[in-house]
Amino acid sequence: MSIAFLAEQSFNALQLGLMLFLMAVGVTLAFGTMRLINLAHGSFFMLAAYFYAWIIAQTESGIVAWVGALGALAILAIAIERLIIRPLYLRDHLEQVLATFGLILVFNDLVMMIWGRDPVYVPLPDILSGHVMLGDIAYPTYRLVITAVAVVIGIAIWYLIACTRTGGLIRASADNRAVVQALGANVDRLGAVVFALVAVLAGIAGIMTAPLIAVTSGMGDSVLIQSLVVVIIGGLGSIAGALVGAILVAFVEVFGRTYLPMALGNTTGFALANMAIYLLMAVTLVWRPFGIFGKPR
Amino acid sequence: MRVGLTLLTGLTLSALLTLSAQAQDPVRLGFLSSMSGTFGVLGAEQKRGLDLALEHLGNKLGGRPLKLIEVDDKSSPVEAADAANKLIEREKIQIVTGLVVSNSMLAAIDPLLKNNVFVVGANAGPSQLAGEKCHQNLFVVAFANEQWGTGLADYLNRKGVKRMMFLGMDYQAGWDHAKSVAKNFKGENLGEIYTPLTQLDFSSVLTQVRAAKPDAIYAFYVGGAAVPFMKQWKQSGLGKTVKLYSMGAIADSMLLPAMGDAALGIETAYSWNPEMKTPGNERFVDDFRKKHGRSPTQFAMFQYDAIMLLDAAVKEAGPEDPDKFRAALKKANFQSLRGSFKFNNNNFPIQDIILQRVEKMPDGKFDLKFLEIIKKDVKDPHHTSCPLKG
Repeated sequence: MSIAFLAEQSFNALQLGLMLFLMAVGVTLAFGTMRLINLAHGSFFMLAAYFYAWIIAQTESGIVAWVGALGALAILAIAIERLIIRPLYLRDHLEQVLATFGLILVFNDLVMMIWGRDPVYVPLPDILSGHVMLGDIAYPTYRLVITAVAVVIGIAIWYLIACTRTGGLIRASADNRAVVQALGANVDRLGAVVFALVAVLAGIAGIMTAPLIAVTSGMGDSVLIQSLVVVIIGGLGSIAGALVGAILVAFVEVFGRTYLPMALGNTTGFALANMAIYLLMAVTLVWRPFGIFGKPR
Repeated sequence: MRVGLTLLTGLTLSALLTLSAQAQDPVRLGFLSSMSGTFGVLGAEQKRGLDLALEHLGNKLGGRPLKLIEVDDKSSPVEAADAANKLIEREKIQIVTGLVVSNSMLAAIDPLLKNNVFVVGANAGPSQLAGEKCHQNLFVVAFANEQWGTGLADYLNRKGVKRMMFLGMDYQAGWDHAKSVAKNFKGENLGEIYTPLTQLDFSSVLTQVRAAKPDAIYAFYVGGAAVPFMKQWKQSGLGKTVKLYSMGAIADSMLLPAMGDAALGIETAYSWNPEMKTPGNERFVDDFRKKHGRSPTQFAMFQYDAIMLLDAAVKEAGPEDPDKFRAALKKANFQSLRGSFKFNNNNFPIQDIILQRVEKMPDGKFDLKFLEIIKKDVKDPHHTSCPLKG
């Protein structure tokens, strides 16, 4: 196996990992700050892609479509938080899971009613649709760009959480919501802000992934499952955990799929590759029942 | 004597009356397919073909009025079995068509055949139904999984393609299609890779293709995976050195609008193409385009063919006379839009395999250009294990 092959596969894994991180960080923030298990996260991923596709078809402007799609998503997220999520903060996690699972079903059918069953086209600017040469490797330009954007957003999230007042409140609220409220912070508003923020993060992942996959109803479902695996491995509520978990899952996924069939033959190899990230999850849970960075609760 | 003669005349007349009444009784046809859920896109496309066929026939089947009952199995085998029983008990159904997905078809087929319902499948053709579980009252007008691959492999051998890699989705149809090419391909097989149905990121697979440096690859990706695969194939730039072959459903006229130019230039094996100059094809394609603003896909064509087959059979004998009706179906005395069409001993088609290419048409839209018939009279490999005699 050549170095170039290894390098290219590592890059594939890194890119997948960063995209998973954008999704997982939303799941983990919503839990960390609001003790909320939010399954509708995959719906935000999907809705952003649909909004983007629709606006860009009308205006033919990528910038308008980016701003419009994320803006619409943030407004929608605030409305959902106010009407559906807020009454559930103090309820059992199971009820949150049921309500947000219901949202998945509603949104999957809603986009089908509005935009139909056939996949929707998302254009890509010509300069991004080709590939660039990295030494001997031809690598898709678009994947390089979204990797770079994901890194920038990752740093921005870290800055927001670690260095700003809102971030301080988010961290404090994750540790002890009641105390933060007693100190006079508006916990309700903080909840709305965080919910809109995580929706936008999922939306960014959705819009960036849209030109790679098909924009269809239910496109967020498999991404949601992978990001839940990431969060369980990294530790629910931990941002560092989301990053480490996402990179781990992505590398196991990519290299498992490449090398397991080579090592064990197609039948066993493919079967094991399908299970690999779940095996990783199981092993992690035996080793650390609350995830790598998780705290016992 | 006179009284006797009058009686006899009366008897004859009333006999004639019941006969003509029987001829004018509607044919009870069920359209059982997946019109919502995972495969809803395909069932809806079948329905477009069904509607157009009945429009062309003036809503009659073999000149007889038609009672059409539509049932949606919601892409669930459980619902399909349930729907089949309802069609039998409540609707006294005589013929069932549609059946777009294999697993729904397998669930519905037993109750239907046990109750002497004729089944004319218009897409799915699971291998067991072509082999040992074939049945005299089951006809499939569409295809068997291995047919296109068999034809394509022949073509690749003739072209002298030397090194190939085979990609597919990790389930029965994925294996059947990819392996039918791999098995019959005479050059070097550089490997087969099967990805799970949920995998939508193909970067690691494409990296493996790049490392193996094949002359061409065969890729079987359908449904939700087709658009992502084609987009990522385009972005990888591999298309410049590696030729991509597949089967038609990877980039049909339903998917092409979502792909942009990602599928441009790929060549696919199929049973039929909108440009073929077969009798009736132009009318079918034009009327379909007028109604739906795009070319029909093969799913609509198969269902159209199924209705035309039934029309021709009912002209000879109604389903009330099972033996004659069965013989009439078996004759396949209709003009298939594909051109040549025959039933094999297992009631699956013997048909020509064609090759088509995704091209940019003069109107700026992407569509499928008919290239050539690559193999004539292709049979499926299962017919030898079917006990029915030709």
